[in-house]
Amino acid sequence: MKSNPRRLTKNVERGQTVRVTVNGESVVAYPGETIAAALLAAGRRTFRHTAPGGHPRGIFCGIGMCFDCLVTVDGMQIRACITPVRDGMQVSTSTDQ
Amino acid sequence: MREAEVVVVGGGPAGLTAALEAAAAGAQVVLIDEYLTLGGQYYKQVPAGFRITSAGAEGAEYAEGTALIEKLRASKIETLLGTLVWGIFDERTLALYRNDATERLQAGQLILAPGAQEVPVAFPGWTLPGVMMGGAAQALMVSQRILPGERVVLAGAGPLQLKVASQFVEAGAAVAAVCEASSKPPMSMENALRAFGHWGKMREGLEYWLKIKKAGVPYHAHQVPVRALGNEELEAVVVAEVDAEWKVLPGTERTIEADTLCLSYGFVPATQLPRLAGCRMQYEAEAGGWVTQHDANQETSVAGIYVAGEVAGIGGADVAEEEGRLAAIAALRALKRIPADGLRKQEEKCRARLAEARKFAQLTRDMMRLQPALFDLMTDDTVICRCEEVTAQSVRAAIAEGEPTLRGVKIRTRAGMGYCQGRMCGSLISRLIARQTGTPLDRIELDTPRPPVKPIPLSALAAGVDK
Repeated sequence: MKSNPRRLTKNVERGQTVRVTVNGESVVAYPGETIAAALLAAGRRTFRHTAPGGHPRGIFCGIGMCFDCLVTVDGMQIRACITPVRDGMQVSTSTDQ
Repeated sequence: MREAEVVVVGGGPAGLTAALEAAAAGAQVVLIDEYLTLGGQYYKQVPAGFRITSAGAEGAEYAEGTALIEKLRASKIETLLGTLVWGIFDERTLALYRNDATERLQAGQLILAPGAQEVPVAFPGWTLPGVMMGGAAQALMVSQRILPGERVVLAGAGPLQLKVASQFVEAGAAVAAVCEASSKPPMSMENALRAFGHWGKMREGLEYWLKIKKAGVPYHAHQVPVRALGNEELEAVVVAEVDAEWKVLPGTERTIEADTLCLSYGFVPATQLPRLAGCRMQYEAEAGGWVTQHDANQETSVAGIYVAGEVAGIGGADVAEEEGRLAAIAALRALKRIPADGLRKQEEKCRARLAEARKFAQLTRDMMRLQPALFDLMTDDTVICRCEEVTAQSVRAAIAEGEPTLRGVKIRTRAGMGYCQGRMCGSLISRLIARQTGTPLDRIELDTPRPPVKPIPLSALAAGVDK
């Protein structure tokens, strides 16, 4: 079943979009949004594949405790669920190792 | 090295009231939070770049949280956001990671209010994208204003998942099922009678219940998830009926198509920081397991270090807020900012409210009490340590070969050595040890915490400290 999560619009305004790329492709993102939110809104729920086993992982705890949601930005693995996007951010969801 | 009279770690309900109480008496207060917004998990805030069109259209928590945060902004409290307290060294010296660098902060008195995490429950397929904690769904819907998925199954114990279900309905998702593990759902007559008198809570609970009923959401008691199915992401959830002890009844499995599964099985105090600081823990099954030991003034076994909120025992926001105030009052007296009997009236009122709040917290705790059989859902090939991908089979083998401790299992299998530092697998391994060896949970010691309490880049230290 294909999942297509989306941005909720009731009672909230988001401001002007910022430029974010995921694996080289542009995605819509708003200032203050977390990387996870931008990825989910773009239809991506798999954020990485585990290093030993190659298994898909996405958001689990959502509050920065489980470290499942790691994505690579500027060569570092960071938690997508609590890290906000920056204009010009380049996100990679492929494993380094 | 910089200093502060009162340092409060954690900007949720307990941290906010502690900081405000201390500042109101004229103390110099620094409040620290790892996130970029205050409010913790309870008073979720939207990002700084978002604007709420009409505050009145948001829930009661939004109003309460905003009021506290605005009071904070109007005060002299210095707030450090996006700041990780990664170590606590001798005599309340904190190591902070912020702006890609390490700073130290000397606390006169230290109030720790780092909150809780949710209880991990493992079963085959639980690592698939789409399976998440109830709190993750709330963080996405309430803070980020993102719908996590379109077809949702919720599974848990107790009343909180009614709120999450109601939030999903509000956000436009199809809620395929809400599965309550116990036979006595929150809306049962027994629980309703116990809640009698706590009108605000009853009304809140009823609101969620009516919302999900109106949307035609199927609600099932005595059901648990047994398997999450999907190739790359969640596609379906297999649920089964359980008996009064939550043991799965054979032949009762059924498959529900879903792209999202939310788990809400309660909370565990986030005790890493107080343990790092040398504070003694005690085991209280009803309060989330290992909780930080403290006296009636919220002071821990380490002089000058206090705890407030969930880290002192799961009790909810009302309990947290009163504990925050009591901790601040005790800290103010210790600093001699106020006389030894200063704020006595305030303290008495606090204690009265706290006693009342604890009464209701007890009801919620009873509804969230977990039966051990919930942790028998793990099969041999279920991943227990998500970070290092260690299966239940490996853990069971390590226990059988004579390693019935968290440390022993860790050394043998690497379980607990990953990024999350055992936050997700620790309690699961404890359950496996308990099941396999008959050791009671309060005898299975936690592993020794070491700084950093969360991973930090080497560059943060290589650049030097306090630069």
